[in-house]
Amino acid sequence: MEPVRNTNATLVDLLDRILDKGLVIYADVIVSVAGIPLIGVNLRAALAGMETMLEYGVMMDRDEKSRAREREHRKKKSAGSREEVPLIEGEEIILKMLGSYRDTEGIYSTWRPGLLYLTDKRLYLYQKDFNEILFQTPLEEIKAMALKKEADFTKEPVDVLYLLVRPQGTSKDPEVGEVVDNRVERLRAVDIYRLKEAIEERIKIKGLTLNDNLAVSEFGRRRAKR
Amino acid sequence: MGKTKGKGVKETLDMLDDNKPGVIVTNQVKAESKDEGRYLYCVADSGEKAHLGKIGLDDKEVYTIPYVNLCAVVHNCPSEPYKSEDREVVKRWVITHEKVVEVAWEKFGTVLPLGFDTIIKGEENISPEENIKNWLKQDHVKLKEKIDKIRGKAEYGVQIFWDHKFIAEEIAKANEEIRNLNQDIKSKPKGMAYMFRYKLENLLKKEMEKKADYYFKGFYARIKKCVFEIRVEKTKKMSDFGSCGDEKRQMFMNLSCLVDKEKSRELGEELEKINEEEGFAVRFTGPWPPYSFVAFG
Repeated sequence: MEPVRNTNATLVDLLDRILDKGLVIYADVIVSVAGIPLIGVNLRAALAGMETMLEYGVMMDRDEKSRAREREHRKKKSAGSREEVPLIEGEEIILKMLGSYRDTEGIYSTWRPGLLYLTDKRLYLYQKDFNEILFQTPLEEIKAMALKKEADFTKEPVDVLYLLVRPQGTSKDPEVGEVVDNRVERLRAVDIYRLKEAIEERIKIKGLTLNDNLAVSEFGRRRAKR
Repeated sequence: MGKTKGKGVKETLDMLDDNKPGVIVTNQVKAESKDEGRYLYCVADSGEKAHLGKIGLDDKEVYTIPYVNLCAVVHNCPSEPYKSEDREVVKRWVITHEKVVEVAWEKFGTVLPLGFDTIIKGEENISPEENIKNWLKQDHVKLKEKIDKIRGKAEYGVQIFWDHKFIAEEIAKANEEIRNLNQDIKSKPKGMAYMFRYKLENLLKKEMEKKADYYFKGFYARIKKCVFEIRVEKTKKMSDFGSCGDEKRQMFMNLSCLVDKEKSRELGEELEKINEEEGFAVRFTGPWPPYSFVAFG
């Protein structure tokens, strides 16, 4: 395993050292100004790699010229760097924001945080520290959406976006015949309303339709596990 | 009497009121206040007087102030801390500070890095250079000791995360009481199920703590064999920064390791083994200048 440094992700590690550690000078001939807190808590949190926590939804410029610029920039930047958000050839980011995904497998259900990306092809949640896609769905497979208020562990009501996802292609159940593997996914985000609107718009652009929201909230109530 | 202008006027007039004969006030006053501090990057294992170029914060010229066989790596600045509301500016400063330390490290072999924003001022009759030299002289023995300790070594960050859910499932598999509780929850009506769930979660929590302890001790011992010194750091919780925590990736070990540069490979290999164990993930960062190992003493 090789150690990493000088990347965006390791900025946290650098800050932990450079802001709190290093040689301490006690000699009384020195009039030092070290030790005065110079970086406000918010700024520090922002710098400490959790800056994604403070990021808000960013509507990328829809202008073709600037999208082309962004593509060029990305091509130059990446070249095997672990930092890059995984994108399909020609894929464009429409919206990105901090969010989380409800992972319900196993004994525990948990919300797993990351960066939500809405592109012209799919919606996915990316965790950059481990370069992992936690959730992903092509836009065509989103059949319905509904917003619901739920209480999280702090007992505060939060808006949760329910997505009814129907994978294209089906599986065969030997008794029943063709089975469509519907599933309900749950997402949270710093600006969930904006996300929902943006998804709706992208789906419309693709010439697809979303089912009535009510159906999903019914479905969600009956089928969602926890 | 020379002319003065700008900010220094009040101070200048005060000076004149002191009835000091022959006080000549010039624009020098203003110029000095821009340069009366020395921003300290590190202390290097060398007595060389050198210029490292305009690589400092805000493109300042970085150079050394030597004393015998040690030198302070500095740039000239106002005797005020660097402060900004703009996080991109601060980010750039911090990265620049680190780059300068790394350049000095490369050039001089061994350096004692300082934290961000350590600035030495002059005093009434003492220039900042003299202050620095006096300090290097006074602490010479201690500084040399620290340098000897870190010579040929670098600092590495090791963070181990565990998959909370995976561990919980492992525990459940091996623990009958937990398994039974889990079954009961599924079959009971909602109200009762809540009580059982509460009990289950408490039990799981205790078992998880035991597991954490067990794994911590195990990994610590394995890592200690590969390094010169370890510091246990606070684990960072995602919840420190917001209400969503990632339970699948919970940091349960955060270490700073001082390692001989040649032995870093060995450490990497051991961490690779740990990373491959199911339910665990490792983050390995560095090499860093040894910020964590020069602070005290």
